[in-house]
Amino acid sequence: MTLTPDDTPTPKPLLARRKRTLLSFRRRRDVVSFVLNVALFSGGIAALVVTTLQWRRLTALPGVSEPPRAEVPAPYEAPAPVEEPAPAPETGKPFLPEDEEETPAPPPPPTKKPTPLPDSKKPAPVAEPKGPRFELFSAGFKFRTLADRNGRLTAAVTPAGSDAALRLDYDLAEGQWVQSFVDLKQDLSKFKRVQFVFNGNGGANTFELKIVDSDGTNVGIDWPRASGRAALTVVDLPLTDLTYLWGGDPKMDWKRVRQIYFAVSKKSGDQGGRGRVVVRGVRFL
Amino acid sequence: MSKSTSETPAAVETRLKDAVQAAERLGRLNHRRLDALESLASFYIQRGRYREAEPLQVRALSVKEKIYGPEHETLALPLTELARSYEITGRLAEAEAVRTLALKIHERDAVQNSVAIAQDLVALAQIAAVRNKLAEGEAHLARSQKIARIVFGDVHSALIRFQLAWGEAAWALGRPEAAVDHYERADRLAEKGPEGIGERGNVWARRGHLERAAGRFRSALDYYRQALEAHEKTEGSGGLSVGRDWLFIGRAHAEEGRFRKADAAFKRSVSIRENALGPEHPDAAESWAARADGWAAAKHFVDAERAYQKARTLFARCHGPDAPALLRALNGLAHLYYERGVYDEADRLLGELVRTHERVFGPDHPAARAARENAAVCLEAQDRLEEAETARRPPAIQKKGTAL
Repeated sequence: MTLTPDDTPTPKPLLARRKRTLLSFRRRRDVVSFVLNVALFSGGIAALVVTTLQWRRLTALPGVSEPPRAEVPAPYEAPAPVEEPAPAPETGKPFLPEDEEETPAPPPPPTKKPTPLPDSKKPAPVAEPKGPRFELFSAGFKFRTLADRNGRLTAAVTPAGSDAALRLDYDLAEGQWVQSFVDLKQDLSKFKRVQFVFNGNGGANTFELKIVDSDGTNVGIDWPRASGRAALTVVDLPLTDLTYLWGGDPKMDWKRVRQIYFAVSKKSGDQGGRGRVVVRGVRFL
Repeated sequence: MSKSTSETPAAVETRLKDAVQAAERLGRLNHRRLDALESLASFYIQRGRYREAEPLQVRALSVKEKIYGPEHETLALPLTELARSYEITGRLAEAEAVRTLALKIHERDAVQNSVAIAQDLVALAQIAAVRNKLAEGEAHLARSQKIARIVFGDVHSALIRFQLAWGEAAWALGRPEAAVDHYERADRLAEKGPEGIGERGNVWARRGHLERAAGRFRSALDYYRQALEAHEKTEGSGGLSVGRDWLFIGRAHAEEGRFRKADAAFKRSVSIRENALGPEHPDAAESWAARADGWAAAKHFVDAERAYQKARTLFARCHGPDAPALLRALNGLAHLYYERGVYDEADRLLGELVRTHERVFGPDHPAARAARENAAVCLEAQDRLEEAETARRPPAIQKKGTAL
């Protein structure tokens, strides 16, 4: 008889396989195993919770990863009731005599260097709904200016952080209105809202937004005595809130928008004078 | 002679069977009948068909017993051969009894038959070890060593075979250190003696077994490769010892988890054995079973099942239902079914293995206990816990439990 390791009569043992019902307490060791498993599971869950809490506490420390907490935005100031609407310039039709050249007057020299906007006054960004959007300043349009006979305006689109801003330096010491506008052919019918922020300095005059369609219908809204307000005014308006002003037909054709105006006007109760308005982040959502 | 060389094995078998039938007509105690029986038995033994050889050997032995008397020395050799057949077919009790008879015949002339007595004793020691009768085995082993040393001294080259046999017996009796000592002595004798490199190959193969059993697979492989080279020098690349060495190399690779190398080695072993012995020989079945073990370990279940079934068929045909080789193949097949979740087949095979192990070795033998444990583990995997507890108990307790 030649014996090898494989010739041992003892059969190779089967490896036990735990394939039982989930809870089986037929034997004492099953109970022990169950209790042990429950204890281990509870310990694991507790460790996971503690680890998560520690991690959240660490990540909540300033300067680690959390973005700075935004300030509460300035409340929207409803426009004060106007006694009598001042004769606003008709944007579709220039208010200048036809023989007079439309040469904008040189901007008034700034009396002093414009004070930079305090960072701490930055409002929280308006909640941005998902979907299509139209960024006016990112589209690369050229802003033009228009003013009455005695008004003076300089408009410039300047970068402001990650966004762009329209800076309007005006002089209404003798004039009644100035405005900067952009010519476009845009379908805004798929948008529901318009958002932007503005602030300024100088005299307290009326700041206006106006939108004109292909047949000259003007819709818009104004903020009386808001042009000199240093605090940012957050604008988030449904387009339906823009009221019909004049021109064309009373129905605004949002599919054929042709001009967008930002105007500063001196109405009853306004101060006139020089000032600056900075408009940022104009977007249609 | 020219007739026998041109004949196919089937034709030879038919001719030998016809000769036996013809001799039967001549009377029970006819010498031609004895020769015919012994020739057919020898034919079967050469082809590993011990199951068919055993009744022929018994009939031939009874004829000789009638002719020469019950304890004539002529009976010693056929008794030894019959004991060998019983060992291979798993009938260990009969093997022990027959070998004891041969020993008694040899002991009648102890001086003349001293070498044969030492051989009988070491064979009895091995059988006792397998049957878990360790004290009896140790006594046989010690007596064998004492006689062989009286006859040969310490440095005779004839001791090589004895040292190898003693090493196997010591290892089966659970003393691997003593086995190493015997193998080292055998190696030293083979190095100096005239037997040459072939005998050293046998020593190295056995040392490889010890290393493999201890889990030192790299060292085992070194020994097996040395044995392979030695046997290739003596027998050529197609020798039977070479085929056996490839089998050992494959098993070592499989146990260390290198299944691709293992399968290549098993393939060589199968090829050599089938070429030399024929595809129906149980040695080829042994290589197939080992290859199936490798496939099963590598999760190649389909190939493994096919190889196991082939080995099972051959072992059952050649060695009978109690053969250790068949039990190993069945156990491998049961493992395979258990791994695949084919619990009904696994249960059936494991139950069969329990009954066979209890019949062959007795209910208290470690092999029977291991078989019962395997059956219980399989039942537990199916959530049949009460049946598993019952399956773990020995048969007597099971009966008592059912009576209660």
